[in-house]
Amino acid sequence: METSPLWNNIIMMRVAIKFRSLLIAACIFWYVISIAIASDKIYIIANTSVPVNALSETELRDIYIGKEKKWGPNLKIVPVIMPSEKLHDKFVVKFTRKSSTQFKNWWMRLMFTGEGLFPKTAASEKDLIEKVSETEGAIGYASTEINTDTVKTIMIYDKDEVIKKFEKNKDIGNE
Amino acid sequence: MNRRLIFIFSFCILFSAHNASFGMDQIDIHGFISQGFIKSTGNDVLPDSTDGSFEMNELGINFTTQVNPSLRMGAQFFARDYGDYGNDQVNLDWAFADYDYKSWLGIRAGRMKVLSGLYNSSRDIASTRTFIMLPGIYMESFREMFVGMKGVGAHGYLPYGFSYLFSFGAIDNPSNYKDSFLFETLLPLTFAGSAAKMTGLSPSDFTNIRPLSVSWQNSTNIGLFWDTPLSGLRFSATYWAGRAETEMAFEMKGVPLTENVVFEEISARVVSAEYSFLSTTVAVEYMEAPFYAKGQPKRKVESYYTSITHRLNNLVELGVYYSELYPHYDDKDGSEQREGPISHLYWCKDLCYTVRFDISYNWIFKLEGHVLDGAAFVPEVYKEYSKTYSEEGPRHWEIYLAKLSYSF
Repeated sequence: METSPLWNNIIMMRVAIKFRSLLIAACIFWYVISIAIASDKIYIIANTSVPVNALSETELRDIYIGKEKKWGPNLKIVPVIMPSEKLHDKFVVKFTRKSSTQFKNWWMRLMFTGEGLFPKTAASEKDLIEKVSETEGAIGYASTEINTDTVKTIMIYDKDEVIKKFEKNKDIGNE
Repeated sequence: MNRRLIFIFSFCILFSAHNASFGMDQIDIHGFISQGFIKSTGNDVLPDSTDGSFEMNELGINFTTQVNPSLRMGAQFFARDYGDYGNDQVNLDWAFADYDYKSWLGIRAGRMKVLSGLYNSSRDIASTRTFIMLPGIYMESFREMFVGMKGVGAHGYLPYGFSYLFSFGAIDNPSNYKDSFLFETLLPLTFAGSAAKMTGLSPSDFTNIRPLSVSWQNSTNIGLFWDTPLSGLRFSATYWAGRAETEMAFEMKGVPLTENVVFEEISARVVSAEYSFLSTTVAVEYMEAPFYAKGQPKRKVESYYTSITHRLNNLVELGVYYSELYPHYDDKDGSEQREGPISHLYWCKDLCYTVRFDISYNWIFKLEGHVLDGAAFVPEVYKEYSKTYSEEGPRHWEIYLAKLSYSF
């Protein structure tokens, strides 16, 4: 049975509408995913007085649980946090391997037993960046990369992964 | 605590913090306050706690400053009320200078917290844990011995996740023996029992037994910690030991006498394991605490517990522990009757369940229940017993607690 051109046009229009809807849905999906991926990204920032440009994940963890206290003989590490922001929860879970409550309890225990000074607390991301900018030796985290006269972005690497890659390259070289 | 000393120390810290020309940071001020309510059935934990009591609160404030990148100084003032103990008197909780030479070596001097197990050093700060009352190994009745010491110490982080602390000095509360279950309640009771055995008289012939003075000598505190490569798993071993002498006054059939009692050893050895994964933390701790007076049979307290806590969400955390405490390691059922006829003073088995609500970042509210078998080291039970030397209070009983805490 032959279909009329009008019917064909209607079918084509329906397919086009469906395709457009699919395309719009795909775009929305991609946009949501990219926002989610973007917001998951955590950048480590520091005052430009900090004498390093890269830290291993272990070194960053040691800083944020109070084990590592100095950048060098004359510069104190000043960790800055923003507990009221969601980025804080993501940061502490990813880099200190503690939940935000465990992180808070850990520092309260250090603070109320005289073992350490509680990290500087910021009310928002903007406030955190300002505090890092103003304080020598300060380190913090942000959702975007920042490089200004007073704040720089620190590269974070997984020491184990670097060693594995190095060993792998060494093996290939030997072969 | 000498008020003049508190004033001088506060002034020094405030003055030094103002002295910005030395590149000093500003002063950090933090504090906490908590108010609890306790109700028990059968036995009193605090005076008249069977009717409900609010005599359960803590208050602390600290001042800390970073003098230079290597040197930190601080002090914390603390007051608490726990039934007959504390009565809101302000004491210097800790005050020390801490010099960080390298991450593997720091040196400190002053009055420091004693490390014993996972939670002793932070035992007064309700916000740092799930439970209101700590398990038996933290022996609330002997708090004054474990709370702080004056001396010098070294600490640091070593490779492979190890860290250590070593302190040497003396327990620094010679005037606080009246706040002591050991010297004010337990020692008179055991003194009467021992004296009765030696003389063939009845314990009730020895009256008005009280310490006239208590002096603490050498005290040592060692802690070794290992954060294992398995994320969240850590082990620790702590040791604390001290020596004390006390002059006891008493009346034997109405004749006033005095006697020196020398505690050759008072110590606590604790091994601990804690594993945190996702929102759950499991802890297990075991303690042995030998303590005995010269001329008396050696005695060892034993206690252990296991706990599990789980955070449901940002608001609610649940916790449960089961703890056992035995004042006599070698007489867990009281069959040797070392302290008289009452049998359930020879153990305390405690099942505790808690709900913690993190109302906000600063406010925490907790509800807790305890199901107990035995009343070892419960001061009010011993006090009642020492009045009559006859069995008092039931073996099975319960405690209910609520506590609201604020910290900043």
